[in-house]
Amino acid sequence: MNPPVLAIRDLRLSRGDREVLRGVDLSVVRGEFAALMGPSGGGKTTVLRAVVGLEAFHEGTIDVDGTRLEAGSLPAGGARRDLTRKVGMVFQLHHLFEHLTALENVVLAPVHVQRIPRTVAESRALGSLGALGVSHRARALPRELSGGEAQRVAIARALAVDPPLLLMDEPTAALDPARRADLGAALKGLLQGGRTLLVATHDVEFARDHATRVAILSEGRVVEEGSPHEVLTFPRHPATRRLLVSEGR
Amino acid sequence: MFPQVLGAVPAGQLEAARILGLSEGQVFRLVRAPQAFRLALAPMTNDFVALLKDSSLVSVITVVELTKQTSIFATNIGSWVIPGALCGALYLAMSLPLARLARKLEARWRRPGE
Repeated sequence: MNPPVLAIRDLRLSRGDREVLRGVDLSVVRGEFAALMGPSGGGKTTVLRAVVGLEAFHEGTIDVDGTRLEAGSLPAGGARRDLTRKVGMVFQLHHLFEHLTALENVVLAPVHVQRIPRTVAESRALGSLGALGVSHRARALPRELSGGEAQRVAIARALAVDPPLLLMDEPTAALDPARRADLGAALKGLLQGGRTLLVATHDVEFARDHATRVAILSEGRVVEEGSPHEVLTFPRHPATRRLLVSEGR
Repeated sequence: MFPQVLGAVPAGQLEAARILGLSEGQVFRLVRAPQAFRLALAPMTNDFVALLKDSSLVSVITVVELTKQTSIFATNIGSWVIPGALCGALYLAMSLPLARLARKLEARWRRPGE
């Protein structure tokens, strides 16, 4: 079996009196497309934010391809630099830098963090944008892009530093069915290129069509996991059944 | 104005920059400051036009600027008609291009959704 690229053990996180994560355990192995599903407010985004080091957690450990995040503080210094090389994230609202073109968004980290010459970084970025079908929009500002185009630019930006693990938060939330299928195909291409994906979504159809594994997060815990067919066709946990009913499946 | 516009840069963009590995200094220099500058520039240009016009007030304390010079010239020739019209034209010539520049920058850098 492939080694895990991401191993989350007993992850606990509170905001004030409210326990958001109550002992999340989740492993994602190399080459997997794992869908983290569950109702809104169940903690999916918080798990992703903890993995990329944006959210300090109170107990547990997170290992990202050999880099360990400890409870109690946000990663800093060398740990932050290690994490940057190992995990990228595409936000639900993309958060592209509004003053930079699509191409400049993608080359920002390679040029200023990795110190790659700009011409080399631009050539690579154009290749990446081309593979995602948006190289013709390289000179456009984010406000000139459609939602689907902005998402692809955000994927190219996250992959520009070549992390093995890519996290995506609700990637289908603003996409029509055709764009959703395009995204599925693009993510399949990333898997074939050796990436590992962890995608937070409540889109049952998207997970069923594209994920290789599904984990259901409810009330701060992973309550059920398995293949999309097992989990989404023969749900065992009440939270999974509720999710399927609420999504009309 | 600057603290306000620095705070107006969306937090999500700053987080995206940190995840990419940019240091706090780079986040400020490459993401926060350029956008804050763009947000501040148009209102700043408006302020500058207002300041230019308000400069006439210093003639009251006998500083010799355009209005004071016009006043001296008008007293010498015994009429305000031509000096007044010239003075107004000069103020317009200085402030109109600035106002047009402000409008252009506002249109160019208008944030999405506005």
